[in-house]
Amino acid sequence: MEQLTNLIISDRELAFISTALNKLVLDTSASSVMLIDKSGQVVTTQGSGVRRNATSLGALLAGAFSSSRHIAELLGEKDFRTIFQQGVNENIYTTLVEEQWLLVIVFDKLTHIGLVKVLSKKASDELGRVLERVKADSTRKKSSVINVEFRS
Amino acid sequence: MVDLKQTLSRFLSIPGVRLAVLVGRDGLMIDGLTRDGKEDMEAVGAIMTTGMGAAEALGQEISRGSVVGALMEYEHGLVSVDPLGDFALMVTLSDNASSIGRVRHLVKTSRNEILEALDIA
Amino acid sequence: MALINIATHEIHCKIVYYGIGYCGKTTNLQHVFRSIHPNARGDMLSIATETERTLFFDFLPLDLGTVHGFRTRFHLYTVPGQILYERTRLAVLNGADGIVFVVDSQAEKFEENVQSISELEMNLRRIGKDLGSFPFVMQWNKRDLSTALPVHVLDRYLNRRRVPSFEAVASAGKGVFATLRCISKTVITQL
Repeated sequence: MEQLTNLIISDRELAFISTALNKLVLDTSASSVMLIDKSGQVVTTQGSGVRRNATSLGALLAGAFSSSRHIAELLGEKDFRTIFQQGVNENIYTTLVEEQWLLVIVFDKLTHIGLVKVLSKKASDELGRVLERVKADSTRKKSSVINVEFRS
Repeated sequence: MVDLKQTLSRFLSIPGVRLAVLVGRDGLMIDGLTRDGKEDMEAVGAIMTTGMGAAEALGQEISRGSVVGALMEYEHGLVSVDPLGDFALMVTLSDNASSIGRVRHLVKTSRNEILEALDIA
Repeated sequence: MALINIATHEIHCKIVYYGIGYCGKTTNLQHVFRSIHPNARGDMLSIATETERTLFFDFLPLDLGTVHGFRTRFHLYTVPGQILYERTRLAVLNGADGIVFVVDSQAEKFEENVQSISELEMNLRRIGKDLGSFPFVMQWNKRDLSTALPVHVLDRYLNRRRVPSFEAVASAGKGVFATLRCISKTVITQL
């Protein structure tokens, strides 16, 4: 299973991702939407909300998400694929995309969680398709990007 | 922002309808409108989903297919539950039974609009 | 925050292994886990990435004997070392009663070690503690590598507070228990 660091995301695919995230921001009035790798690295973010803290947020959310999956194991649950953190003013909805990425939506109390769940499913499916293409591309392109010159 | 308020306000403009809530099958409210703001829409949505679960179970038990509508009559009002595909329920609270026909008709005609707004069409 | 349960005669303490990425924190815990009798320890929990780099923390509960009739239970934690996980380290540090700073002795890691200690001091201040008065022990790990700096050099530049320090090759288990014994004793005496 290739990790993010071994995935090569072309400009074209990044544009697809940004479009999907942007649509989610508009449809849910989210303050920000992030796509992060399971290890915490941020792939990209849209929306004005978390720009400054994106790195830390990505790392912490990945840790929290991984923790919750361990909890699922301890409880004899098959898996927890989403977590919902509810605050006083802001909430965070995090969902797994194809065992590789986490889709994170930060939204305030004017948006209902039910709406976020429904809309994120569509975005998540779209991102899943992007991921499949990226994985297929990466195996082909890796040798051309990381070539002998790069390594020396 | 996806705005279902316009669609929901059409329910509220039917005389006697006090509350209209669109709730996902998982019990989480997608959007809702209430005329006087007294009811807890999220709670109504959550409880109704459970009620529908029981109704579905009964339907299976008696082999009569899935639930296409449910009506709960109370001393001081009426709750109508209308499934929207297999992803959501439209829950309306009315003063009496006279508006049920119009509510059900509106659910039918609004179906596509709602599905498109949520991008599920 | 040490938990002292008078009714059950138990003392629970939290020890955090801190340091840069790949310096040997997780290796320390793995060695302890393998070496201690299952009766005296719990399961080791590792919240890690697919390539086994710590993502959130490793956790290992241990029983380390009795002190004045009180059973001492230590919860060992490690933090993720990579730069990306800075805030995560702060989260794991919360409630720590003692810290082991694991140093990757290699010359090329020196600068990172300096920064990491500095970050540790800052993080402790953030949770209202002062490294100067805190149970703190240093471990010079990877002594077996050819590029390892001499201990007196490491001691001079990295151990400003002159806390107890131990040489180690965690991958071979050397120095792991000496370090653990020292920090646990220090934590208990400073309760």
